[in-house]
Amino acid sequence: MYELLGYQSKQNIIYSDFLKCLGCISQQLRSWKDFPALPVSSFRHKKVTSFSPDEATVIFETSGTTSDQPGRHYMKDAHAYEVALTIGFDRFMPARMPKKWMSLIPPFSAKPHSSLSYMVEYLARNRAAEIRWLVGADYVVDPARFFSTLDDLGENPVFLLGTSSAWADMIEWMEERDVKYSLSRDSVIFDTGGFKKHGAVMEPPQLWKLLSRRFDVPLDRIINEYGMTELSSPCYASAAEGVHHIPPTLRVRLIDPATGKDCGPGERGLVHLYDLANVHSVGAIATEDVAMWEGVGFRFLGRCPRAPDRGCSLPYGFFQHGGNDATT
Amino acid sequence: MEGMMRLRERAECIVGIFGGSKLGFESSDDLLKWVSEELGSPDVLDEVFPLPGGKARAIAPEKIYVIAASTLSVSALTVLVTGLILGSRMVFKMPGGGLPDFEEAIIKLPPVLGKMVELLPQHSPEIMRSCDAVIVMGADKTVEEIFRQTSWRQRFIPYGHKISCGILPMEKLTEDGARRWASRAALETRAYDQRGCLSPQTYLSMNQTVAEIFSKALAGELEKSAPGIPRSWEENAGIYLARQEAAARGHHLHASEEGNRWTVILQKDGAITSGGGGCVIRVAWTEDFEKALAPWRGWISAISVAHEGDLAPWCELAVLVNASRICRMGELQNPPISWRHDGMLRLGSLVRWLTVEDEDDRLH
Repeated sequence: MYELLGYQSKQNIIYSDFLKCLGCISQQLRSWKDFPALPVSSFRHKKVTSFSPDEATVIFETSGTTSDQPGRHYMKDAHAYEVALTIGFDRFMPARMPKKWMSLIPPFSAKPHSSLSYMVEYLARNRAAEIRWLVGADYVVDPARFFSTLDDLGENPVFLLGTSSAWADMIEWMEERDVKYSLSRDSVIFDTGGFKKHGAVMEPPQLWKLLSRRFDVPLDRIINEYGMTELSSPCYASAAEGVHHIPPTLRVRLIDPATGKDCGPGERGLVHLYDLANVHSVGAIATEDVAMWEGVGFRFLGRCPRAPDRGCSLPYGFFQHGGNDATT
Repeated sequence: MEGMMRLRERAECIVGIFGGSKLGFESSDDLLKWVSEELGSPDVLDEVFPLPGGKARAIAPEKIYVIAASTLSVSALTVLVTGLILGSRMVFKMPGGGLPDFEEAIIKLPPVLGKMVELLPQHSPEIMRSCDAVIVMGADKTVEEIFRQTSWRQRFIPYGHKISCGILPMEKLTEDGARRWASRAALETRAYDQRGCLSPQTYLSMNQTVAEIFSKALAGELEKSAPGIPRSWEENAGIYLARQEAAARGHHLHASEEGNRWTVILQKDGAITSGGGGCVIRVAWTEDFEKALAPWRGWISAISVAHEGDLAPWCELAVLVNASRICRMGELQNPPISWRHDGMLRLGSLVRWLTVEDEDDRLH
């Protein structure tokens, strides 16, 4: 990690300027932890690359729901990303993984800049016997098609992949009609992402309980992914414990915002990710997520309540670039 | 309002408690002058009084419902003084975390005034509906929600989100000049931990050199004077993220060496960002103040100017951005009690007028 960040501090202009602004001198950075993490918002404003962006063969884009301007992750090639995905997936998915997959995440052909679609398609190509794509670019799920596809798969265990929004829609539909569907033994549900496009906010543990109840799947076979477009090495948690495990290609720091130092157990911290697979962009990313150490992993606590929205002053980010660009 | 003290007695009483509290008045004369400025005469609240065009009496609301903004006692105290001057009963819906300074002031009120004030821990739409006027301070969404719950028969006085800023309208700035203005800017920046609508968020200069000299001087002044205020995790996170983001955007960062006491961000690109408090102040430069501030129209409360002479030339700029106050740098947080907050008369917007049209008056 240290070597990667040292390299990027010279080759990545955005990261190099960031270090200069913070008064960091490369020679004085003696450990990977000494390298400050670049705010993830930089991916929205600049081309964060350690190579000429013109040579990029893969460009992933964020959904743009957090801000009008989507973040872009440029990669010279996807090799390191694919290796990191596979390592994490193989290590943290439960035993007896189903070979038949059903996806409520669109295929890469429908969302050609979605890292999530790329991930699902790549993993399916390498780890599944078959995958049924049930949604297009609009993410809209047709429940009738969903259940008839499940029927088609018969007694086979199935690996069901979807975003939290899609699962929330599905659960809402099932709850309204009191529908229950017992998935075959050894089936696994994969849940990722937030509720950015969903009107009703549901806490993840509540969603997982409802998924478990409606599909008759034990909580330890519901897997949540903590990932983002700017990250190559996602973390995984079983819904039974809700603690995200860190893959070997990733280091995580939880930073106390009062001191800028690492948090101890039981303390809330801002999530800083040090991703060895981010070879073409920047290895050190500062997110606006909040988490707490628990066991060998971290418990994700949500997005940072960015600024105290108190008093009569304007909240942070109400105006940026002289225009109305609310950040939350 | 039987048994109610007359205005002059109330004014004496108010000064006894709040005089010197940085609420913008020192003496009862200041308060009576304020009433005269807004209503024509101090006596017009107590009786029918001859005014130009006839006789009139200003009828204060019998009861005012106030939603107090969290963390800023000074706003609630100013409304309290307004209500006490008018002789109106007041119901304050207190913020979740309370307002210690305000609550302390209530305890100090003599019984005759104290009985005019009631504090509510929770919002009560029912009590609010029974009031003649509603004053809301705080977040825009709170203002909008309360507005939906009011009737057209009630006076509604909204004080939503606003920010303030300062301008440095000079081509050159000596180090002495920078120190002098920065010292004043530090005063208004650090006050109330930058949480109020009168808190500056950005200082705009006319060129890069002035911005650089001023930001450095301001950093020096804040290092000397910004207090170490205990802050919540969320407040610290806001400051931490603001610093990180500023560095990521290539801005020059001056920050307290330890902790999050103060932050000065010298904007590289002249972009303007609102704050979130915590003594995080930005300095930017622009060749055209009007152009830089135009997108802020409607959201600016006051503008402080680093200029010793007449401030009238800056009125056009204030009009353009809908600001309601121009003052000298250093004075942003010290408006007189008579300041028309958000462009509204504090007393005049609450009273109802009764006019008496005697034949003699009409003839005149």
